[in-house]
Amino acid sequence: MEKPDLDKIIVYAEHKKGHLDPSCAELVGKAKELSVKYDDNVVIGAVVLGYEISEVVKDLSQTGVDYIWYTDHPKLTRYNSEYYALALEEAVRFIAPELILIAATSQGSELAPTVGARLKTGVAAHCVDIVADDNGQIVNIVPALGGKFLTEIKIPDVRPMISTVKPSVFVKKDVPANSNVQTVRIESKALDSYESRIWFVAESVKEENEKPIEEANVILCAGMGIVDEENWRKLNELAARLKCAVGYTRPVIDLGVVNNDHNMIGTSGKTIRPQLYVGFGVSGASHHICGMKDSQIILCINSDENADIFRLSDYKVIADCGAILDAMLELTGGLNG
Amino acid sequence: MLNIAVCIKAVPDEECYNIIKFDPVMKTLIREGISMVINPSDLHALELALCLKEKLGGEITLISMGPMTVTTQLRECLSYGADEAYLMSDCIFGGSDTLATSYVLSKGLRHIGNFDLVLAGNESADGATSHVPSQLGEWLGYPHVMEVCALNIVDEKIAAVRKKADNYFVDYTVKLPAVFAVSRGMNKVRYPSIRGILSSKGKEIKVLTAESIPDLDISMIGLQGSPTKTGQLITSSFHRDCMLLDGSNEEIASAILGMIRPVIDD
Ligand SMILES: Cc1cc2nc3c(=O)[nH]c(=O)nc-3n(C[C@H](O)[C@H](O)[C@H](O)COP(=O)(O)OP(=O)(O)OC[C@H]3O[C@@H](n4cnc5c(N)ncnc54)[C@H](O)[C@@H]3O)c2cc1C
Repeated sequence: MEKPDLDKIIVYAEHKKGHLDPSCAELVGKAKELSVKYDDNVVIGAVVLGYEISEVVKDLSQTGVDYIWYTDHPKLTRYNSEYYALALEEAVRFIAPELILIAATSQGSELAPTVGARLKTGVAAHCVDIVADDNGQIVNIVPALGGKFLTEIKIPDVRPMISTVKPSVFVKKDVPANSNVQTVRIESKALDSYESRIWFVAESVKEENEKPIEEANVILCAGMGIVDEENWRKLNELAARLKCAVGYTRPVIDLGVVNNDHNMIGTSGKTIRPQLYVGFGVSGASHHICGMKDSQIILCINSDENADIFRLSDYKVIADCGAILDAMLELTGGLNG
Repeated sequence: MLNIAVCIKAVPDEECYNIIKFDPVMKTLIREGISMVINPSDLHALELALCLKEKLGGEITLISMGPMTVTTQLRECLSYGADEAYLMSDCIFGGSDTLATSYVLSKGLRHIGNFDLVLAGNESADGATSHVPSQLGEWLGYPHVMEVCALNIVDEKIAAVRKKADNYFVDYTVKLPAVFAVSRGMNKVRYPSIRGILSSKGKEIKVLTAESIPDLDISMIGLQGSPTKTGQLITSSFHRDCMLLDGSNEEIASAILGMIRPVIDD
């Protein structure tokens, strides 16, 4: 059987305030890895949308892509799902790639299904891996039933195929820059004449000094076993003393102790792979495991000796996590520090 | 008066996730003993619809695509205070991916009437692709916004919404009709009232088959209308050899600190 064609893979390059999103390098790395399977005869391109984005285009040219297609238009000054979908659709029709990789960020999670619907093609969501099988078919490995199972998704008959990948799911690889990057500007006629039905009003300021949990070496993760606000406070005190990050499971948010869900770990939150994950009263539900299973060392404290999380742990402590927290605080400057 | 549609999906009960077994020979799920529930996010969409109706008046129509058993979940939704329910059920809808599902739902909604707002949960607990709301918006030709965590109706033509975007929030005004995907954080879901439960018993759940919708393009639905083909389920076998840390609390605490300290960020 002849291999299906795979001539072009494009990465949707998201950027904010002049900086490329880290997901871009992760996706380019995966595209490179796939291209090897097709004897390296694959053009790896990036599409970038925005207004006055020459700096971003320059940064993009260092990521190892062969081609950059960009649309520079005042209507793309800030993200608007209608304008961005229109421009991305236009670019994709022009480029005619076989595969599009999009980060499942807030923006990408809107754009991928939208453009998928416009092109009447398939979108594989939240891939944990993308591989080429022996027949040269692209196979997306995606979580099913909250990550309890995995399943394969193929898009055999329609092109382009679209795959979305959550940030940090693929590890960034060092791809050498192509010294001969081709840059193509797409002039958008469609944008000129389209008026969006969605109007931007305001944007909350992001807490700048908040270090992304994905970058932490050690994460202390609160599960419902921390039981109350008192233990939550203790956990945060300990984390501050040791300079490690604090994550949590989804039900912890409902305790009302956090005012956002930035550091929630799991399928609907962050994917982390720290050197050390310490779980305090985490049961090990599939939704949560999905986001932390690749941690280098997993240590969990749970009062239930049969907790599911222990099957995935390198070290287990069967104890009340409040008592362990107290003991750890004692050893790091006293209970009341 | 607002005409609000709420999309409902029946999903396997989350409580059953850890008992769902997988037949390694047939490569299928053993669904025995797995109860179906209303997708949790959808209840937040329904709650928003109920609040809007209380404030501004209007009518709430539920729509779901699925097997006939979904009448159970739709009836439950009616007991919260929704007015009407439609179940799109036909064996040729089976195997639909998100593109085909959103197509079927869009045809159903067009058939039923005109809506100012189409609400859906932001994600389903089982597939969790979060594709259907956007794709439904595309089929209907309406603007659509995902991860909506606050919504107000400005006037009959405009909604003001707050969208959660990664680590921050963005406020938009959106022209109606529109599709909004409601995130869990928007509201607390009420309990159905006894009166609601009783009155839901008498309500008819209208069934729409492929034949009910004259302009339905059969090539767009079911397996043949679905560009994505789902393969076998693979058990994700995460397993590590686990060592017990034993001793007094102090000994354990000190052992844990001994692991943390060498690797903390500088
Ligand atoms: C669509 C969907 C998406 C979801 N996405 C996510 C997600 O991204 N991330 C996520 O985390 N969850 C998510 N969830 C929720 C998920 O299914 C689980 O409910 C959740 O992960 C469980 O959190 P937990 O382990 O903290 O709580 P529980 O399951 O309640 O477990 C608490 C654990 O603490 C132990 N414990 C109790 N008391 C003590 C004590 N004193 N000392 C020590 N241990 C104790 C118990 O033995 C138990 O094992 C999602 C659910 C749905 C439906």
